[in-house]
Amino acid sequence: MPKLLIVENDSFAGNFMSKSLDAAGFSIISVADTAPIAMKTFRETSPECALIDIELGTGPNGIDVARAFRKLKPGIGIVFLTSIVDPRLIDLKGLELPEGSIYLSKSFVSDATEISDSLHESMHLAKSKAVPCIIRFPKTQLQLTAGQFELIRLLAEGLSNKEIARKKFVTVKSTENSIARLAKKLDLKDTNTNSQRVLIAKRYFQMIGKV
Amino acid sequence: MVTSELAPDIRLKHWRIRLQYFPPIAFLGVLVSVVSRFASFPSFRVALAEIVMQTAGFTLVYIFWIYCARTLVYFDKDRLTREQIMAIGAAGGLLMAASQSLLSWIFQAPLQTSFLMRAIGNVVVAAFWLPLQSVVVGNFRRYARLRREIRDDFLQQESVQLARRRALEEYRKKIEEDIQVKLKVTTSEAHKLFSSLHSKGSERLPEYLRIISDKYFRLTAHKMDSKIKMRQPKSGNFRANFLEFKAAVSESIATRPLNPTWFAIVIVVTISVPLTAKAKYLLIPELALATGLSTFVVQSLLLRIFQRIENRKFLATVFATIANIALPIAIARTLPHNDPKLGNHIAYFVVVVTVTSLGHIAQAGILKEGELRATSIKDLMDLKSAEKEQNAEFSKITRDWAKYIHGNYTTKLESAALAIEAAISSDDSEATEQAIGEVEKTLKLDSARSVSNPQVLIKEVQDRCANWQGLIEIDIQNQVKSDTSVVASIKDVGDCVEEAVLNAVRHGDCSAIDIQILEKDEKVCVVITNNGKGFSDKPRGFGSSIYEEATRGDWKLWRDEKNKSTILELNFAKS
Repeated sequence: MPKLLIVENDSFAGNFMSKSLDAAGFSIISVADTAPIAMKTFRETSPECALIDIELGTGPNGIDVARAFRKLKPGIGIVFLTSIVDPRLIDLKGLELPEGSIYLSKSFVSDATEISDSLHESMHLAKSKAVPCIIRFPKTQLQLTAGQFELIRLLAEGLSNKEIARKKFVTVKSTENSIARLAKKLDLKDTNTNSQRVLIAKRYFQMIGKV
Repeated sequence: MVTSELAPDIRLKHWRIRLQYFPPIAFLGVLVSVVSRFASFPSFRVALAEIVMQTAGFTLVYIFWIYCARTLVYFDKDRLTREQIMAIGAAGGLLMAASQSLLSWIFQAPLQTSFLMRAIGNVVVAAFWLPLQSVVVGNFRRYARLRREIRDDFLQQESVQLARRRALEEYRKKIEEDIQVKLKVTTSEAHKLFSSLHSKGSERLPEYLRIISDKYFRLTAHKMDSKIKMRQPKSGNFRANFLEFKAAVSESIATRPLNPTWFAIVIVVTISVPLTAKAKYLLIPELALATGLSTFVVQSLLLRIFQRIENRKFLATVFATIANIALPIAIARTLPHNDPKLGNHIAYFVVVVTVTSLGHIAQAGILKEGELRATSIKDLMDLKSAEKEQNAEFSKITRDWAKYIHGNYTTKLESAALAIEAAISSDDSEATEQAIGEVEKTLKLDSARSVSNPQVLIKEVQDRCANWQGLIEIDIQNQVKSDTSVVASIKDVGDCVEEAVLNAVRHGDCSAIDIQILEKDEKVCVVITNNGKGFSDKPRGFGSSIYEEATRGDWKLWRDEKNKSTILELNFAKS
């Protein structure tokens, strides 16, 4: 029975997963709700795999924790389970997902077996070298470019076209065009540019699981 | 040939007369009435712009009208019957109304167009509109002046005398040549002979003079004098006097040959505005009525078509038209124009200003907001401001959302700043005040938590590092005395420390961080040292802007290769 550490700041979700995975044949060490507790538990128990949520409130996020785990124990299997459908939707600030890890979107997972399968797979992957993080999208995949991911994030942060243009080093006109293309891709048909903006932001918050 | 030499003198003379005598008081009267018209504009800015543009238009048309009046007086042969004049008046009114409406529609309706376009539009519109005003005000004085000038000054004193001098000169030359040939003497001798003959007073000289004058002018001095006499006013009936005067002038002009170029110009000019104006304000009430009515009908119709005005605006047009018709009739019937005394001028000025102003005020009063253009301007402005409000509302929703989601201090301030920007751009002073208040509130809230003693500061640093403990080793040391405080807010210091830790972990790949808080001169210094791999190029982006803002530029980051560590030094001024 592989030893599993769950890092999840939502206690309900944590306990629920703990029960399900216990039934799936994992030995659950504990559910850690903050990074320091996770680190402490990790040092004490040295788990074989970890199921980590990315959003852990203020301070370090799940990816920071996973990287720290890897530093201490390179062979640990890591699975991220998050409400954010695509990691490109959040600003990672240059933070890379650890190699051999698996990224699962909560909207993709329908039962605990999928998680347990991924955990087993990740333990296997961790042993082989230089495998980039496997990202599993929900059925309806987002066909957005890297630039569009950044754009949707900036829009949701409440930035004006002018500010976005300044940040991306492009003209306001091209920003407007980019937004129009983004809206088209997200299938938002409203012709009013302002309500379109709100709808894009709404879609973003839906995608990162905040709404 | 003499006539063509004489003609430019006449033109020049009258040009000068017009410029000199065209009533400045009347022009002022127009301005006053126009100002009353502008009083109903929605904002001072718009009114000012209109006044400036209209004045430019006035100036143009003023000059234009002077020219037209000049040509009319010279070349109008009074050949037209009253019916013809009425028809032309009506047609002119139609033309004017059509042009005015169309031009207003093209140039003034879309306020979004550039200022230059509007200015051009107004000048063009004024070019059609102004003759009515300027003619009303200037006509009688102009004709009174003209009559006096032609009668007393020009024909009698100058033209005739000049003609006589020239005739005498011609005569002298002829006689001298005759003497020279017949008596076989030199030119100077002939001149001397003639002079002696002339000074003695030849009985035949007047006869010679008459023959030569007749030959060259086709108009004897005697005939000229009789015409001048004809022009003296016979009775108090202005209209009869005027028509008589007009006939006399026309007849005298008719005897002079026309220059084809001048004639062509005159034809072109008389087709458009001045003839209309003339027909309307020639002091014939029927003409005024006909023109006014046609203007009223067509203008209303065109306004309805082009500007989609409502019924009450239609009513306003009725009032304006009544004022336009009433004005010339009132003046024609009441004032003794043929007696240009100062008192009459003043009375005339008062009537013109009052009637014109009343007309415009009635118009403005009915329209509530002002006259037609003012209303459309206001409508457009309302539309624009509504659009702006909508924009601001949408921006606010998105920002509020961002604030709700992110909820941190920077976002709060950022969104407040954006709200101020939006409020200023939408010219909403209330919203601006509110947004500024929001910022003040945020800052105040924050300054209340400003660092007052080292315990607070170290606690904040510890709090911020707490979440990272475990991932890396963080060692915090405080060497600041207990009575020290810094200017920066505690949140800023915390943000800086957290950002530094985050960067060290994520990008520096370090395992330990050492934070020292110490005093240096007049500053409190936070030194964050990590054992990571350092930075490859000059750091920029979010982190550096946070340090920059919190320390007001007093920070530095460097790599200590000897100890294999990266050091960030943040300096906060002591309070």
